Amino acid sequence: MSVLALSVILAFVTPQAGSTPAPTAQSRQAGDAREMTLTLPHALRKGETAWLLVTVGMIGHNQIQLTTQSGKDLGNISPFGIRSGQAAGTYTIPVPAEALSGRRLVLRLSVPQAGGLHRATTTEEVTSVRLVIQRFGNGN
Amino acid sequence: MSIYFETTRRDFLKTSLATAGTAALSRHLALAQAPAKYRRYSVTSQQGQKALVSYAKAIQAMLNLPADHPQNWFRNAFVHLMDCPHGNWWFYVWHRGYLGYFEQTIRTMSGDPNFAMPYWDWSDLAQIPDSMFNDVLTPVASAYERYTKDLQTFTAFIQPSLKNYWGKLSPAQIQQLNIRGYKTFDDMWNDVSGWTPTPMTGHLSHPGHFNPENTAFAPTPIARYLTLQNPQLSDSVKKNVSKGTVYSGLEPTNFATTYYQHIPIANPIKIGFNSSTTASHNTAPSKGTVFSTLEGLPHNSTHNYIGGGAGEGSPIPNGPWGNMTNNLSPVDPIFFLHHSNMDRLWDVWTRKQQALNLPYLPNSQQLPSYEKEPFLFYVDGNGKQVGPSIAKEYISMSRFGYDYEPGYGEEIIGKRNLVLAAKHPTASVEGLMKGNAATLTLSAAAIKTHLDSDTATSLFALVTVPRPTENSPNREFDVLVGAPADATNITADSPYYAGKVAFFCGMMHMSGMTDEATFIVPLPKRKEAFANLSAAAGNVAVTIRAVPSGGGASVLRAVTVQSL
Ligand SMILES: [Cu+2]
Repeated sequence: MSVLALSVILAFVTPQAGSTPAPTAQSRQAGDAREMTLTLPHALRKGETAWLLVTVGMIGHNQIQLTTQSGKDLGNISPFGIRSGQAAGTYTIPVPAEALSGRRLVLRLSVPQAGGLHRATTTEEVTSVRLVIQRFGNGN
Repeated sequence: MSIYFETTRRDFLKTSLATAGTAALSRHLALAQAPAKYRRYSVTSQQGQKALVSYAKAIQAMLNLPADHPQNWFRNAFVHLMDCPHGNWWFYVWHRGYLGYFEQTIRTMSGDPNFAMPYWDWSDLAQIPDSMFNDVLTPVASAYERYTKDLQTFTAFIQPSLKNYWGKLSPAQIQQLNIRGYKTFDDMWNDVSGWTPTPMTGHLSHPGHFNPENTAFAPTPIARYLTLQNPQLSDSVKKNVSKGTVYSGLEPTNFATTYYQHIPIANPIKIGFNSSTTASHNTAPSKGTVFSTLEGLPHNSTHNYIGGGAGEGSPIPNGPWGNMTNNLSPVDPIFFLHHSNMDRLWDVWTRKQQALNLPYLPNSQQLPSYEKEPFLFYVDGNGKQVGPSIAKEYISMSRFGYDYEPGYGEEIIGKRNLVLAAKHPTASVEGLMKGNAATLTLSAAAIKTHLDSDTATSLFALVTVPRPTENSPNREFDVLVGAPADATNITADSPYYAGKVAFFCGMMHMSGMTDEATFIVPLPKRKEAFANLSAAAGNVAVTIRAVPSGGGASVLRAVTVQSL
């Protein structure tokens, strides 16, 4: 096999910088949540912020709770105005710098249940998660 | 808007000499707007509480109207169900129109001509305000029971009049409803009743089933999940409405979000203030939708939590859900306070962009399709169908003449260093005063730059007018550019109208104060204001006047035009 062909295959199995193709690839069930490690393409520079792009499937009136490994709340996805049988779309969630350790974010995804319990999201419920950098260029 | 860029002429000249002058100038440009006729106050303020009294009175009157009256309380909610955009870039502008007309209706119905919809700033108060549990301000009140006791009662009450309304819709309206997935009246009604025409698996003999997930109707007792004893948002919703999250939602500098989903690049997204673009405001959110942070997090989760959508600790995963969880949410009066706050945040974002000298509208390729989107279902304060109108008409709050008492987010405005303004050289031209009118010679090129840009304003006038005194009590002045000397009755839609400058009570002349003040007013972006432009080679003569808003001759003391 030529070197070129090999590198093409590697590009598929190695996670894209700053993104994950699908949670199945690198997430694992960790108790009552699905846990995954996401890596920024580079460490944040001045004027840059980190964001999660979370793509959600058909979850009806369920919600997706996002926390860090240490339990810090990152946000709650609660679809509104979605017709029955439709996917809930992609959500843009700001990630505070202190939730990152260097370029890494350990993210936990769960679905709130009755009685304050949670369960791990399935790969149908959250179809993709990306950690991206935004630079808004407003001079900060 | 509450703040004016007010300074004495001498102070201005002093600062304009410093390099910081341009930045200071542009930072405050957005603040040089006229006070609005109506002010939307925080619901926690005394004025906000007072407004709730009129609001409750109007709701009662709207509940009492027959179902065939377009201002009937429930008919008003159906305007939202049939036409509201979610998960696209018309979310804010459509709701601005919806709230604006609703506010007019509340004025009519309450008999309070000064009513303005209070806003609920959940970043400051993460619970339903106590007074929103009073009387008809909650949809669980007994006054609603006659209509919403159960689905049968509601259907009998409203369905005949809605069917009749549907029958009279224009082809353009029907076309928009089709985009929403409503090909027939029954399609729409199924979203109200939850009826799903396909049989459940294993029950082929049944013609269909009720799907609680799709039921917009909520019976009175469960119409709202939160109660006076338990009014708090949950911890996770509190996180979504927190100052940190709202601040992040105000940060983007693009109007709409763009997402190149299928291109494998590290940064496939440019997050905008609005959700992603679609071809129609009626496009239902689904797979390709990207929700902006403010719509996706605080907006959505507040709706759902109030309506009882699976809250932490007490989730109701299988329903039934209350009003706020779906497109009939305007049945719950809290809807309009919630959306008033969303609308306020759009205004904050717009003024933040202006202060940074950044565009606050879609880019020039996208702007035409954004502006011409038809909104066909609004009802005005007199109960008349507004008829065809377009998104462009609802971009500015001046369409409805209101502004906001400052709330959370205001501090973001003008906080950052300016990128663009500092790069541009500034030039200023002083007006030659004759009587109380000024003549200025401006470069034709500068005027063309000013007129050509879709969004950015590059020419501003520093207008000096006398403070009100006992003998000359005028507090409001209209700044006119290039208006014929004999023109009277120039209104805000005139091409010569640059803006209104005004003094508050506290800005009356007092001893020790100069007897005049200077305001910054953007020049009109209309070529009629610069009559000799086409013929002129290098320079164009422009006249500027400042006339008392009630009528009368110009009282302008001095004017300087500055270009950025
Ligand atoms: Cu809403």
